[in-house]
Amino acid sequence: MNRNDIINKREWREIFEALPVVQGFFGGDPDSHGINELLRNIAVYLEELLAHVDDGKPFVWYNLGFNSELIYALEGVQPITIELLGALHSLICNSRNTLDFIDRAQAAGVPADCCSADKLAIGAIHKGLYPPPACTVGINTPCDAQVLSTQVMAELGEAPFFPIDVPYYHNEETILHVAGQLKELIPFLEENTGRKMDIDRLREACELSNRTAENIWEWLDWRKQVPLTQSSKLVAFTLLLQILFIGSQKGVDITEGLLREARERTGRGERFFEERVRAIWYQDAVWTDLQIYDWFERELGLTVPVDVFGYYANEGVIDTSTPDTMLYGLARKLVNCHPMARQFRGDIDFYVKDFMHMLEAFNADCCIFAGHIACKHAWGGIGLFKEACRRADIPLLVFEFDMFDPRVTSYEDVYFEVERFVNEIVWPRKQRG
Amino acid sequence: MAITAGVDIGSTASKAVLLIDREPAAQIIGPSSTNPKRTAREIYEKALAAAGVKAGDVAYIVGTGYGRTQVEFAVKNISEITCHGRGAHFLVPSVRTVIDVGGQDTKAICVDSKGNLLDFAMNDKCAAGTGRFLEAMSRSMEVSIEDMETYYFEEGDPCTITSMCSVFAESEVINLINDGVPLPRIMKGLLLSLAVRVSSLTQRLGVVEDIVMTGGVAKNRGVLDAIEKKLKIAMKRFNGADPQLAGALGAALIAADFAEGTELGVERS
Ligand SMILES: Nc1ncnc2c1ncn2[C@@H]1O[C@H](COP(=O)(O)OP(=O)(O)OP(=O)(O)O)[C@@H](O)[C@H]1O
Ligand code: SF4
Ligand SMILES: [Mg+2]
Repeated sequence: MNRNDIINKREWREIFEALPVVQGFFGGDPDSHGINELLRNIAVYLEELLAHVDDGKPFVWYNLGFNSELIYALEGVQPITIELLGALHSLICNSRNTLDFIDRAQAAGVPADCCSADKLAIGAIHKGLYPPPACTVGINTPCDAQVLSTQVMAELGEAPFFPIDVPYYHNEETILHVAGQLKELIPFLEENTGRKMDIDRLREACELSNRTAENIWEWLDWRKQVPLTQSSKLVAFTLLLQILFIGSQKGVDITEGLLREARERTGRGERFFEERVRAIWYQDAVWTDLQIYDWFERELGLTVPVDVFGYYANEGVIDTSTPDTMLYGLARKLVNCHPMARQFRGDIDFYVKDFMHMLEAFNADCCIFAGHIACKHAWGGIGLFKEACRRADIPLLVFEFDMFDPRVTSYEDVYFEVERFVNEIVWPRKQRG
Repeated sequence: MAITAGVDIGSTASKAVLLIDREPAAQIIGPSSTNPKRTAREIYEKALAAAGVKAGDVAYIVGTGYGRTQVEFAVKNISEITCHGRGAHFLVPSVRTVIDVGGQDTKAICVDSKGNLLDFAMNDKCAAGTGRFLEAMSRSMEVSIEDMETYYFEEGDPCTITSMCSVFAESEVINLINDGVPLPRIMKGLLLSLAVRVSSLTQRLGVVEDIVMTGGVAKNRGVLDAIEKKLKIAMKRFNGADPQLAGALGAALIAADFAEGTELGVERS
């Protein structure tokens, strides 16, 4: 197998063709360091992927929520998160392909009401698009859809599979239980990739991870300022960052780009839209078309400084003193920090408390619960969440949509919901004081 | 003297209210059509004629309802949610929850002590719990919309209508008729099933009294009674004012605010 076997697949070729175009587009704005760094590092990652295929080096597949640090700690091993292709197509290329992945998963028997984030991963695997793995790692949290995607990965990956069981509860036992499994995972990875885990390299990956986390925090601090000087949609990108680039120099570079952009724009007192209202977007971003945030800014004066997964909880720092402290730190990050495991595992407490914290810290005027239709976890807590918003006297918009599938709720309908909420409730209320 | 107008182009009916110094001078209701622009103009002209007012004397016009963007001569268009809240508050100042049941959708609207919109919930995807549902049933039962309440208040226990979907409910009703079940029992069952829908939507908002009902369906006293039974709360009545006109009235009041420069915040082109 060589790189042509990848590039000749339409779904990959389109990405390779689109990326320079998108880079050219954003490169036109030299101040967009955040997006430019993200795109540059996606390009670097993809080139590494091709080089790995050429060199016959091993790949490890995993599902959303696992720590990429552990893969980066193995010299010459490339991580592949199985949501990658679907997410990239939504983000920079042709979201029609994302829908094809979703449809393919459904045609293969995945129920229509299963989460599209998992369906797009399953569809891409079914189409045989990823370079074959040396082994696969699956975490079973927080939902059935995630479990399903790990099962598909285990079966169709045709490689040894290591399941990581994440308990339901938010407590110390859970962290220790996961840390114990990460310890067992290391010899598994070593055996199947043929690479030795070098502790110094693991430490380096954890340190890069820590620097990335610290950058995200500082960047989020800039986003607390009113008015927002950077575009709202940037917050959605941090998800890709967290699932694929953390533990590598790429994560550091992307976050430094974001930070530099925030500093410079704020320093210049720059704002490219009139901010009237700021919302916490408390659910999945509109991945089907992130331009919708530009539209919100321009037409409604609505900004989104942070969203549910863009918020990075402070349990993300890893103590790098010993191998055990590192594994503990990674486990704590996996269960208490990573997207979904933090918010949708166990009771809804983190979910509600994080929101209350963000509301205050980010000076928000309202909350937009863009209810990803398959996410029973978020919907299951909606009553308590509504109650919390009511007590805090904060306007809340609730609507159904699918983060990757505009056939559920169209772009126009999402806009209609948000426009009505902002213009009829939030803005008049803010003016009344 | 400020003359203002509100034109509510609903999915089923079009309404216009003309105010002179915030007092109703004309109120018109007519059917909606496939040409909302023309309907809007016609209904507005009828209102002008009824009040004996010239178009040039109207200081401000607000369009609302499903077809509000088609009211070409309106200065602003504002959603029916805000307008129903405002109109209901004008008629019953103590109101905090407004239930608007129109031809196509059902809305629960929460307002503050000044009639400002605080929150809302709506069902706009399904005909169950709307005027359209009642219209379909009126056809299959061969009872006019206006006469439905008469049957509702007659003797008899309600029969159970299990289908929420208007298509299935219709065949259920036909079966009941064929089985010889008396119409009052069927009617009670039907209006109670509509009330279940409407009250659960309202409960999603958290029911705060006083409550009123607006929209054409509020003219049916059977529906009012059934919803009160489901919510276990008595609703306030409008004392003669037509609930179907609440949206247009609210629009005309907001137009008066704009005309006087007291309107805050609701910005629409
Ligand atoms: N006396 C009555 N009893 C019951 N229903 C009635 C009566 N008069 C009118 N209606 C119903 O009211 C409905 C129209 O109400 P309304 O004018 O509030 O709706 P709309 O504004 O056109 O619709 P929407 O708000 O859903 O767009 C019709 O479905 C009609 O059947
Ligand atoms: S968004 Fe919800 S349904 Fe989808 S994978 Fe995450 S927790 Fe599961
Ligand atoms: Mg109406």
